Amino acid sequence: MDKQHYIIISKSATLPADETAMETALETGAILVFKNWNLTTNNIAGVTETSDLTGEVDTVQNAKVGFQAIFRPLKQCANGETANIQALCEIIANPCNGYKYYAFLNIKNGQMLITTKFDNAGVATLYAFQKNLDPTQIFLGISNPAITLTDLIGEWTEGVSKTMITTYDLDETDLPTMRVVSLIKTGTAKVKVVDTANGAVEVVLTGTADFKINGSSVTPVYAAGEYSFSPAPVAGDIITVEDDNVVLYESLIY
Amino acid sequence: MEKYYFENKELGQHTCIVINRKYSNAEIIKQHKNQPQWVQDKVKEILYPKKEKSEEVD
Repeated sequence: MDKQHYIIISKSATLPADETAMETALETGAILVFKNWNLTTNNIAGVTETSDLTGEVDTVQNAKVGFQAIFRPLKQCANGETANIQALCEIIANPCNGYKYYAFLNIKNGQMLITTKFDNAGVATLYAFQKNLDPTQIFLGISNPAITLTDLIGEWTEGVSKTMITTYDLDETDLPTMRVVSLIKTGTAKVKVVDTANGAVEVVLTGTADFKINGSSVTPVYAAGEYSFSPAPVAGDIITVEDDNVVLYESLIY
Repeated sequence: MEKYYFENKELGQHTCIVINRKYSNAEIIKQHKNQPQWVQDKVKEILYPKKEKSEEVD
């Protein structure tokens, strides 16, 4: 795994005025997360009202045709509640299809949302998720080592006081418990766990792997490469998995 | 939160049944309705354990 950088934005952020810089960063692999994004006062291109924030959650899966969007809780508070969940929003942009992707977390209002800016037809598409998440810290990660931390801060802090940002320069050894996997929705209440770092190799977790829906443990049943859950997830739910032997932190908005 | 691991080698399946006692037994059973029958049976065994017969004393 390439060295990764993480920035923690500890207070409110606003959209950089230079959207071109944002697009460029995204196209080259930047991962962007804003904390306390306020949709009622900040204007996202193509979206001016919170009433626009509707959409079927499962369209995220459809959107994966063009890109992958993964909300990955890195660490939960000791008591397992979602109150202090730390979330990483990862956007892997596919520069080949012309899409521009933005991702935002509105933590203040407990709202997670992800949006594309415009598709090839010039249509703004926005997906919103109402969740009761209240992260104390949000990581902004850059998966592309070609982008330096300095570059990113320089380009992305327009409107954001640098005093609000704490930067961390981590390598893989700093994240010993994290393994990159993806949960792929394969059917009603079913997901497949794949190791995305090794070409989507199926991962069979230990029998006691802990699946959670919105922070609450649920019963997983493994059969033929898929895990199904009880109670079954519904649109808007976030599924995470942890495994004692291969500790995973990954989530899927179902 | 209680967790119980079971494996059904014949079917090639495993599960870690999560029982949250804050819900009623009926609700817990209902939560597992979409799971294989053997898992549902295990859930019922957990919720309604068979009482061991006491030894008869002469």
